[in-house]
Amino acid sequence: MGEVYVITSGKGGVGKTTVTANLGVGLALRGAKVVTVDADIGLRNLDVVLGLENRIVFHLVDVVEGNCRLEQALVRDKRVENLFLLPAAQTRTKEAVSADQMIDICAKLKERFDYVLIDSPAGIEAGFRNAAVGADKAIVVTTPEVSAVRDADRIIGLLESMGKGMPQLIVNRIKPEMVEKGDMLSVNDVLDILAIPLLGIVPEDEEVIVATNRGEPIILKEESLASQAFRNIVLRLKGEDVPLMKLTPKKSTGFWGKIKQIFRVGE
Amino acid sequence: MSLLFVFRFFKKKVPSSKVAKDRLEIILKHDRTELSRSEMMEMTDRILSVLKDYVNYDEERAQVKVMRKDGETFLYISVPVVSKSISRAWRR
Repeated sequence: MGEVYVITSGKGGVGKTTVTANLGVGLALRGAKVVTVDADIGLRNLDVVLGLENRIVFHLVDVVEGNCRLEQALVRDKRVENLFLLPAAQTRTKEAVSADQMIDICAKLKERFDYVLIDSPAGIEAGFRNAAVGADKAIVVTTPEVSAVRDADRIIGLLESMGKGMPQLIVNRIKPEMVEKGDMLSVNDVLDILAIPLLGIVPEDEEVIVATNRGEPIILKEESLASQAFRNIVLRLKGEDVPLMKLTPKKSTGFWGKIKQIFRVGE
Repeated sequence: MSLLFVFRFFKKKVPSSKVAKDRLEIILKHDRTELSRSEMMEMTDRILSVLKDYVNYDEERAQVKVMRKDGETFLYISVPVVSKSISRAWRR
């Protein structure tokens, strides 16, 4: 019997879909049987981030409405063995699926897969609740920004009221240079405020945009920082004790950067 | 030397991350308790006025915080008590 995780955030645009795609690929690369589920009905994107958009025939709502069997809606990833996608419907609304139907689908999926990763829509309404209702555990993604942390706090409260236990946190898009200058909340600041266990930290990495452009999750690329961060998170999900990656600020460059460095010496 | 002075001057500014954290703590106080600013102030005033009848405390630093721990929301009332012997001495 597998485990169902919901990946959620409250606020949009913090990287839920990127996290879901990369953890899905990473877990499958480690030999687990994984299905990623796009619960963002009407605004699907997990297919695009995974690069599987051209292979969708049926979707979640088709399964719910009995237009196809569950197996028929699952898109198999050709690059990674044992990775599947259950896409969302694009031309329907969140109301097309009920909580009971989501519970039912999650129960069926976890009989067949080791990991079921549900990409939740932003917001705190029905779409979020449907995404979370069938999950055993929750992962909250945030960025070190006031708005994202505030919404994460709200989502944590809601997950707890739904009886999902304490979620684990991923702090995404950290800019070490800004943290060092005191211009970005540090991971510890975010942890002080949200007070939930930390699952991982991911540095801001332009390579992620390139990867999304190509539909090839960054974790498939060996050398990038974000890729390393996601691989660490995958190992932690599998129960390994991996230390947090060191985020060292890039050396200041350019004329003013050099000047500032000179003045920083000796402080 | 004057350039150094200019840099020092800028360094003295409160880092924006500190501002962000302080603001978040206040915002979440209201979000977590679902109390408005005025309700929160009223509650704090009432709690502190009761305490005032029993202990002498530093009014400047007394505060009510809302924190989350192990899945529950807690009100932390943090009141620095000023030495009793001093307050008793004053009452006499």
